[in-house]
Amino acid sequence: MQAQDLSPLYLNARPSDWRDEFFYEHPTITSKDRIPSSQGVIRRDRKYIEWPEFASQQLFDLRDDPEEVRNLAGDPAHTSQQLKMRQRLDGWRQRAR
Amino acid sequence: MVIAMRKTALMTALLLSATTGSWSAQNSGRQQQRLNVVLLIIDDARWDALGAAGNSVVRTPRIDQLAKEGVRFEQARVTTSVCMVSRATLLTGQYMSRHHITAFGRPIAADAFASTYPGLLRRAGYWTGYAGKYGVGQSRQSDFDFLREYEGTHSRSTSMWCRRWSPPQGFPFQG
Repeated sequence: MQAQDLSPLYLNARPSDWRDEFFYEHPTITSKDRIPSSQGVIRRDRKYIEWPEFASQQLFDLRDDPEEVRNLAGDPAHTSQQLKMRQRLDGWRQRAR
Repeated sequence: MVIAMRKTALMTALLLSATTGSWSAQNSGRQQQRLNVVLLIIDDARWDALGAAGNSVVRTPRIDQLAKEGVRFEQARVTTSVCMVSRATLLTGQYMSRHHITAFGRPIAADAFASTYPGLLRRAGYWTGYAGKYGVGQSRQSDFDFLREYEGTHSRSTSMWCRRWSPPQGFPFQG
């Protein structure tokens, strides 16, 4: 079972070792032109999503851009940030199996 | 008439919600007090479509009361935002990548179901029941002590079903 015991959340106000990001995944529904598959990792301050069927990525700064309208993926100024998020996502892909 | 119909629609929603879940019963043989478990699933609601979440239009007084007396997880996240995958994740405690329920009509295999929380509770002596939309492939009567499932939308036919409903043998709660 991959699920975690939630009781620390209501027994202690703030567990010290709780997750600070989560893994998101979505399957293709009907076809890639209706709802394409996606996987992502979301942290408090940033969100990184990959759309494998379109070889497309999105990176958002959730503090400066909470509406997620400025895609920073591919922006040379954010290359290292994107690489880090991509590594995190690849780690989640392995662990979620 | 409009008011009466609105009331009917509201009642249907409450009944459908309130009858979805898993609960314990007396057939365990062991007589110690065990907690009942009831899980209500809404398909679908935005995170803020509850009075307890600060919504000033949607009225959910009973859920608000539960939230007031209990714990509301304000940072809970769904890992896959499509209904059948979500339900399979809730039942199995697994990511979609592991349970492989990635499309409509795909059931949880019987051996995998044995490790879901209703499967585990039932083996531990709980009386388990499920009512309402199941929607992880075809449900199996053999997975629960009590199962009333329907497919489709919350239409007039399902509201008729609710009005006709009467507690089955062994149903542990009074109306």
